Amino acid sequence: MPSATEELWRYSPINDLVLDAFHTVETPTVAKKTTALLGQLSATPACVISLVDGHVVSVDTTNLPAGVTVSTSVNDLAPLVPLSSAAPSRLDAIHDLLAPQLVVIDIGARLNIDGPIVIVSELVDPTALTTPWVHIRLGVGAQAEVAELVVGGGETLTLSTTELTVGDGAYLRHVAVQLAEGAAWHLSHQLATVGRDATLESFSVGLGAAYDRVHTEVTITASGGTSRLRSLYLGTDHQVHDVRTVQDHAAPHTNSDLLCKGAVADSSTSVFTGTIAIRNGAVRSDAVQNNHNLVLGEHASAESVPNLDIHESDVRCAHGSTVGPVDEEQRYYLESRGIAPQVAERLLVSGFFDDALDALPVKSVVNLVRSTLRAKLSRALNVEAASE
Amino acid sequence: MSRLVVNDLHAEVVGREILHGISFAVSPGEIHAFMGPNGAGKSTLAHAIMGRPGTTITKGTITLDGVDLTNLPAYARAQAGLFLGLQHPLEVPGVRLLDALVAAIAGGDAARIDEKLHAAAEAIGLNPALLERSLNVGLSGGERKRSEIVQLEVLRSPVALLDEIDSGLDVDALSAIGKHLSEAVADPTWQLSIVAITHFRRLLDVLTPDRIHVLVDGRLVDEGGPELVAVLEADGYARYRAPREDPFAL
Repeated sequence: MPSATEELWRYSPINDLVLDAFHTVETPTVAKKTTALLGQLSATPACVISLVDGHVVSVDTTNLPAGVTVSTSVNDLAPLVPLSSAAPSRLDAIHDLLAPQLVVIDIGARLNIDGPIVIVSELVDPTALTTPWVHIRLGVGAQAEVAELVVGGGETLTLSTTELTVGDGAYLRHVAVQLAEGAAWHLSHQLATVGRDATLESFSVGLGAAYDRVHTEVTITASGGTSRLRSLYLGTDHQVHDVRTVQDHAAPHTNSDLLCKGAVADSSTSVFTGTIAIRNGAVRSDAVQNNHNLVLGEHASAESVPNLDIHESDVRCAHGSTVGPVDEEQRYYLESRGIAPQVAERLLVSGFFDDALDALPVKSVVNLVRSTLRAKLSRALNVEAASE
Repeated sequence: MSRLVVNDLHAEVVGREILHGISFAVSPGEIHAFMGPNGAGKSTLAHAIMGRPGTTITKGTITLDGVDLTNLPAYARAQAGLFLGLQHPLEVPGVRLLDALVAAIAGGDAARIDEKLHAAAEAIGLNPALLERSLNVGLSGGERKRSEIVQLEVLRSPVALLDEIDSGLDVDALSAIGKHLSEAVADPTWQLSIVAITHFRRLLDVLTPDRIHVLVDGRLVDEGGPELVAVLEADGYARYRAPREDPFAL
């Protein structure tokens, strides 16, 4: 088992994970919350893939154009070369071993999909170990939006892998919204490659689970490639949010830009570990990394760990991080208008997140994320809904 | 329509007393100007009355219509009727002006407040397009000052503490704001009272004060009618200062 003494799991509660407490689900039951969740999207999806406890239970491709294939056969594992992680863990091995099937979405060259491809993963069995595996490939010049949503939960353990292959000149807009409930462990490993003149915009939202980990590794493999990563989390109670990112520049003239914004309330904690890697030969690369944390409770804490692994000199690299409470001057300014302290704090924290939410690459999930975030924030700050 | 009474106010910032016993009273519809040199404690006076955290009142009282505000936090003083127009209104990213005003007005209806906000912006000459932005984000110094007055207009607070509201404003903007504030003071349904803190005469040319108070080294050292402005402008504040020891004297 992994251990918190390894750098890969630093500041995580991984030592508390007992695999025997979970069981794999052979036959999934019926989804309970998926339909209501889909109702909160503000656009008709191009395609809905519904998973329950890690198994695909339905695939609706009604609105997909020809040239897009969705396959859920275990046999698809064979021809597909999984993207490799620079830092695989024992849990990745367990995931690959237990994954019941692989969802492969292939988007043909130059196709531009109207509406989001939505993958809903619902956790129904209260002690399930689930291992979803999704691979999305965009052909040359293709454009698509993909939203991955997680609901349900309990004392569950999810080890999920998402692979994104963005072909030359393609443009992928991707969001992952994690809304798991209760004491869930939710560990997501995202691996992406970005081709020549291609763009990946990927945004992760962590609102649920007791332990929420998103490990994202993006390798830009050819010149002109751009990676734009965003993540956002709000911790309450004893939640742990763990965001680990790698912006890997493997070719010259590549661009990456990361912004991670989080707030921790109550006794929650967060850790951001961000690496910028610029390999030999990746000259004229431009990499930016920013992590901003609001600490809203005296028992809450946030760690921010930047790592630079730069092997070329003709590059531009910038990183910044902040950890601290809500700005006192801003709060006083609002209070001088007659706004009560908790309401002022909610306005300021919402404002902190709103700047990031405006950049959500899949617009049809904005309302869902915003309303869930606001409701959670109001609870965390003990603000009555009436004062919204 | 409220009477602000400040009695023997002592206040300190980071353990150092800045105000050494300030007393004055402002009746509804009155304009009182507080003038003084840099470092006299003018901004501290505004923040002590408003209740800024870190500005600690160690002695004395502040009452509004007989209600003791001295130990209340800033938001409660604002709800009781005080408004502070900041010298340097700061940017608040992600918080729209309308959202702040809706939060400030208990039971307020967002659509009606938005209407008032647009009307006030038009009256005060603030480009309505700026109302959609986050509070003060990307606004010039002059636009921020106009925004402060727009906020006062929407909140209709009975007492406005205006800290250097004239700085950063060009002549036209200053006269527009002066005219607007004078109307609010004269408006029998509002009877705005103003505590105007200023360095310069130019604000008082467009906003005629009932009383001038001279603040030097944390004490009110003189008081008079509007005629005092010309005297201060001609003579400065040197005559009010305690003679300092000459550090080079033998």
